[in-house]
Amino acid sequence: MERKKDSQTTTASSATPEQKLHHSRARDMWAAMFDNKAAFIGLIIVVFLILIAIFGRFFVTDPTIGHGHESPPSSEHWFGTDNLGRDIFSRVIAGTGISITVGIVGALVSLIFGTILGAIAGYMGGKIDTIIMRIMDMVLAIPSILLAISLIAALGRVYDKTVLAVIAIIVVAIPEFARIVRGCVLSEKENDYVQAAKVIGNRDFSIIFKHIMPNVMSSLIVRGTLEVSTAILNVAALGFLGLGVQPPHPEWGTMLSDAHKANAIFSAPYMMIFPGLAITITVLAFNMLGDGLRDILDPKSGR
Amino acid sequence: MTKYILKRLLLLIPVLLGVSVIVFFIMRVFVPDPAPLVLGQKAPLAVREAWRESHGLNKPLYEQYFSFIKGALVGDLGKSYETEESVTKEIFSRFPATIELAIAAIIISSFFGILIGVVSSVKKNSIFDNLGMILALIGVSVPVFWLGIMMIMIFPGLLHLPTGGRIDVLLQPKNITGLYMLDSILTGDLESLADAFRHIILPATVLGMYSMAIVARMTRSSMLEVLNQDYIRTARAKGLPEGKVVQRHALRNALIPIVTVIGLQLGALLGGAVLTETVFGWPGIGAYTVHCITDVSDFPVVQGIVLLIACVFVLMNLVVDVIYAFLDPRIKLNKKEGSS
Repeated sequence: MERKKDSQTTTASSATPEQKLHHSRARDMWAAMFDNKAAFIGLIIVVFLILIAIFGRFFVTDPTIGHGHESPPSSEHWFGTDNLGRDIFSRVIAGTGISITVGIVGALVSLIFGTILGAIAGYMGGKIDTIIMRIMDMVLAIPSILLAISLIAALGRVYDKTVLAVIAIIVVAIPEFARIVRGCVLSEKENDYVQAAKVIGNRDFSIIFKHIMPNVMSSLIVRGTLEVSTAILNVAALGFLGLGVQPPHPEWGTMLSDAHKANAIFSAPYMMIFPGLAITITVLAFNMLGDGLRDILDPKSGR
Repeated sequence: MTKYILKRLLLLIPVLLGVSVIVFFIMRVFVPDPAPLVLGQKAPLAVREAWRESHGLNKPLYEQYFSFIKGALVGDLGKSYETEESVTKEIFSRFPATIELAIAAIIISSFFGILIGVVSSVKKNSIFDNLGMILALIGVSVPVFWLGIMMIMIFPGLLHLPTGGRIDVLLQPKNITGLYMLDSILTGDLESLADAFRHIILPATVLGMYSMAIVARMTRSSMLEVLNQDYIRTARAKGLPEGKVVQRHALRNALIPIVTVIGLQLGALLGGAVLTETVFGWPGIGAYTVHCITDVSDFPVVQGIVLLIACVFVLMNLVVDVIYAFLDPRIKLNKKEGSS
């Protein structure tokens, strides 16, 4: 506490009070992050994975080129090569980019749509609220993987399966965000400050985004981080069923699907061990970060 | 209470109708003519025409939807494109396998989830707590299909367990409920029971892993909350042994949210069954759905399965809410009705 006060007074001389508050809050968050072991480890792994996703391809061979036949791990091919002779290590590294991108973009887009729908439902109330939330209930009543595979099965012959897989992952995650935002908007709507903002002539849009949204931000960040791991798991599951990112792209779930089809389970277990480990570690890291952020930002919500 | 349940049941109708619209839309509007998918591109026009006629696909879409709904209300979901059999028959010949697997998974996940959660909360911050919570974290992170593959790699060799199917064909018990373990108990066939158990243990563990992790976390946080209450201190102060305090006073009260979470896991389990059944070759509706979607474009069956699972899921949510109200007398349903 003392240390915080000191640094605040030394750096804040030129900042406005609002900036000062903002800075100290960000610093508090960082401090809490370092204290929370799980969150910190999660953050380190996530940063590391993002670096691999961006720069990894410069350090490995082309993941789509074969090198003779299938071979077990060796000094030349660390994770071995698959049934088409492709280097599994290169494919796992290249797959990081696909999974991380799909996970983050998927979570972000469903967060945006969910937020807009939830905000409209909560703020407008009445019939609009009922209609939006009933539609969300319907989507929630279908297990996400079933909804996703139905969508891809119906449209997969006309449109690109990879794009459809991402859309399906986005659609199934929207209701959760809509619920969070609607709940928050409903509870904030009746507060005096919102009424005051209305009276002095603020437009609905600016009331929602300037005054109400900051209150729901921490729940959204937590849920969004956890959603990244759900999205990564879902895209891997679709890949495993042969409905996700299509070959020759080295997506981890698709790699497992190829290995499963090649009956590699006993003959070449390394074809299955490494892509699965990669999924588990990535999802684990985002879960640790998300859980940690919840403890820091949203201590009331519990598990 | 009855009024509340009735009201909730009425509210389910629009949700289920909506689900039927979504599924029908995906399957029928996005794929206006499934004939070439089912019969092949080279099928003669006349054959295609006759096939469409026999499946009622020549009628306008809204008429097709209404006859789908009318049929669904009396349990008729149409004819399968693949086998030309009734969809209801196709689904219900496989549904017991999935139910048996899901029940086994729920039992495993509840037992171990509650056990881990209770130990973690009672021995908070000990090595047991840390190990339990690490296991729970891995449980929510590991992809179910990969866990299945790893299990197949490791355990059948070690424990001589089978890796596919529900039971040895020669040991199949008389079909009473369709749940092989229950059937073999009812017929007193211990050999079948043992074989069915050996077949189900791995897939059920894999399927239940995620739910076990969720239940363990919920149990821990719910127990920690309860253990801080005054009445626990009172129970301890009056000299009750710690075991009794935990069992009788803490766990009983902590159970309410745990039961809710277990009930809500059913949806996750039915979704996870799609993947688990595919990995283990379990002959339930999960693997069947994947087959119908990817191999044969058997859309009436997919429609039927999604509708059935949605029904099970929303009914389960209702059951959970009702149990919740029974367990916790503090919840007044009428009040909840008024505020929502």
